[in-house]
Amino acid sequence: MENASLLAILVAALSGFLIGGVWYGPLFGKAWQREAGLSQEEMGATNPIKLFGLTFLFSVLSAVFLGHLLGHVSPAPRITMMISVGIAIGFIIPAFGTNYLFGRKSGTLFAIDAGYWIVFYAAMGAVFIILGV
Amino acid sequence: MWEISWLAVILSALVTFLVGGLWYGPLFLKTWQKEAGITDVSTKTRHPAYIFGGAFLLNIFAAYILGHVLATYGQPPANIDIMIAFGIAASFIVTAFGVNYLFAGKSLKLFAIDAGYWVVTYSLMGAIFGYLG
Repeated sequence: MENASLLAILVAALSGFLIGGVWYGPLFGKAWQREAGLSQEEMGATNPIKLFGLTFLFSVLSAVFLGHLLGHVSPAPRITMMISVGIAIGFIIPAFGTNYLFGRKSGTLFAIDAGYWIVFYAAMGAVFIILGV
Repeated sequence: MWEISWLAVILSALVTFLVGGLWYGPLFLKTWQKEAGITDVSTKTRHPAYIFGGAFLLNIFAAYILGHVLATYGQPPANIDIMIAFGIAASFIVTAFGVNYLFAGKSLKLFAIDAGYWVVTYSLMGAIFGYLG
């Protein structure tokens, strides 16, 4: 089993995490809250330690498997980026799209969440290019 | 690497649809409606053709990309196809849903229903590509 270095995995997960802070904060925080139909109270309902701990854990998991997949192929930088972004566009976004359609979510919410995963995976791809897998 | 069986692509998208009909029908419809906060009335806000048509196109696209990914592995045996497809769902789709559902304050039940759906459908898609080539 080829696996990425722990450093690359953690930096990749962290980069996606930090982008999330900007994406769902200054950039689209207000629009997201409105489209998701969340009140200020609901926003603060989850214990922050649980919220950030679990989401970081999910980010690390995705970075572990992306690193594992890239380690199999050992691709050129351009292909690393293509694979990373391709996973977001080819698999994550269609899944979100399907659930959002049936969940009667707005196109705006879909665009915010789908865009986030493209940027998240592009950032992870970039980290694996810079730090190696 | 782009020689993909269209039969497998279309069958995959159909199976995703059929499992969806069961999953979000007899199996978990009531729970899903309750957890997603969707009432019978609000399920009629969008034209079904838009929802089902959109979802079917997204599923075709995802199945096509899955076929491409599997083909880059050089037509592996069916059990490896299933493992790769399962891995994509579990490590990329489920983790992405997890992050968004946590921040949106969705229930664990809703997460389990939606995440479980993608793990099951991707495993089946892997099997279809595995046995049809």
